[in-house]
Amino acid sequence: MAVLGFSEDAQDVVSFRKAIFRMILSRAKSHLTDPSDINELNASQAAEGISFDLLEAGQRARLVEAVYHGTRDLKWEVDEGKTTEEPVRAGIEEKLDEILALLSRFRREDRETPSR
Amino acid sequence: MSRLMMPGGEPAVLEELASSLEAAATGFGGLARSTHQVTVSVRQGAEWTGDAADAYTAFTGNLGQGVAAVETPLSRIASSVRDYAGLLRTAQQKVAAYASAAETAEVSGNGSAYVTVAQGAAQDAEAAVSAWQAVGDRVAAEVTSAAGQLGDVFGAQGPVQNWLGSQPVPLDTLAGSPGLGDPVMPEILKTPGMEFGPEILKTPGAELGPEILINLPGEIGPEILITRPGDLGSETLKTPPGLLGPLINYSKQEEVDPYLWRLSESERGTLPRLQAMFPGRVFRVSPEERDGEYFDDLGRTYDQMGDPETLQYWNAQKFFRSINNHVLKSATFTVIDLTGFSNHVISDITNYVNSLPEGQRANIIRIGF
Repeated sequence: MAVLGFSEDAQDVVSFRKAIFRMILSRAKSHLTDPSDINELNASQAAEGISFDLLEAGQRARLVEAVYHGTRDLKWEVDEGKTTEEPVRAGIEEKLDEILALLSRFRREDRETPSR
Repeated sequence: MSRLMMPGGEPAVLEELASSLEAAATGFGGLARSTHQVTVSVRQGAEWTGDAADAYTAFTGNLGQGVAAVETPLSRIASSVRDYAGLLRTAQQKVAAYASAAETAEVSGNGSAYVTVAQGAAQDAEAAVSAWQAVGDRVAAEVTSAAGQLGDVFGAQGPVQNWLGSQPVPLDTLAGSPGLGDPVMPEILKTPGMEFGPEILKTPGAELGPEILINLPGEIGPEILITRPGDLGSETLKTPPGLLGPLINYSKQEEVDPYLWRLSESERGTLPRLQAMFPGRVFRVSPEERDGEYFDDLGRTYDQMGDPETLQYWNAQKFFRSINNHVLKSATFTVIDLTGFSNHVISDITNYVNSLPEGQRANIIRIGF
């Protein structure tokens, strides 16, 4: 499994299969231009998760946005019935919604507290 | 009066032959198109990708090309025969009309009106015979040309020979390697030697069923070919590190988890190691996204961590936090498999896991520490 976390509180963490993580990251990279951000996603893949609370604020905001849009891209493909590069299992829609809900919550919080 | 000869031949028989040739040409074209359509449907509908899919597509593409190449010359021959039959019928009708008119004129004592009619019929008949003779020459040339085209199709450089000569790629078992035996029966293929772990190609149970090729230990295994269950021929062929030699059909049955194809390589590699560690349990691959990688016969779930392929981006702090998050979210157990990791990384992770509270450590299964 892979995990996205914003703290060490269970309600701020979502876990999902590494295949889903890889597909989200590959799409997220297309929303990034800074090589250091892309490298951070590569490191996150090695760590089998992203701990957003370990990132500095600017990079955290960029990566949250990129991962959010990468997840939305993947969800759109799944909803459209498109073939993804790795197979998905039953319940993928619910899992992607869970990921998007967590990311949306922290996107909102980041906007409300930009200095965080 | 003209001395016109009745052209020989049976237009009806020729038209029947033309119809048969047209049906055959259409059949060849339909076969080529349906082969292409079926191939595309199989690849798209079954999400079949990889070398085997490419080989199959090439194979059926050559087949389709060869078959399609027959359609055009057969159609040309059929069309020419039909043209010839039509002009033959007209010529025969005109000559018959002339003969009738000539006979009438003769019976009338060569009355000028009858003779005029007969002369007109003679001109029509001569024109029809000339047209028939001309088309005869053209049809002969056309049939010769089309036959040559057919010869090209079946010749040494033609698509049929390419199709017949094309062999499936090495180790591309589902594209039709020799020695597979009856494709509807369960089969197991293994790489002889076994030093680097066997491959298994299997049709699990079903009549037309999916094949699964897996390298069980997962360390250096040459290839993984998996077909999801329930589909008729969807395959995924991966060739990770390298080839270790030809597959041999050992023709024995062995149960393979039907969801194994959904795991990553590292996750697939961990499963038999986990099974070996707990031989009294039965581990299966979780079928749904919300569960971990595996579950056991007691319904407990297992999240897997550890992929040596990702070590190039190794960051201890992030991996440790990831362990924390896995333990937080794992329904039951977190399996950390460090097989293939370097000694210093294993040492760091061991120290970190040992530092965790007892309650968390109890839910961590260590492999390769």
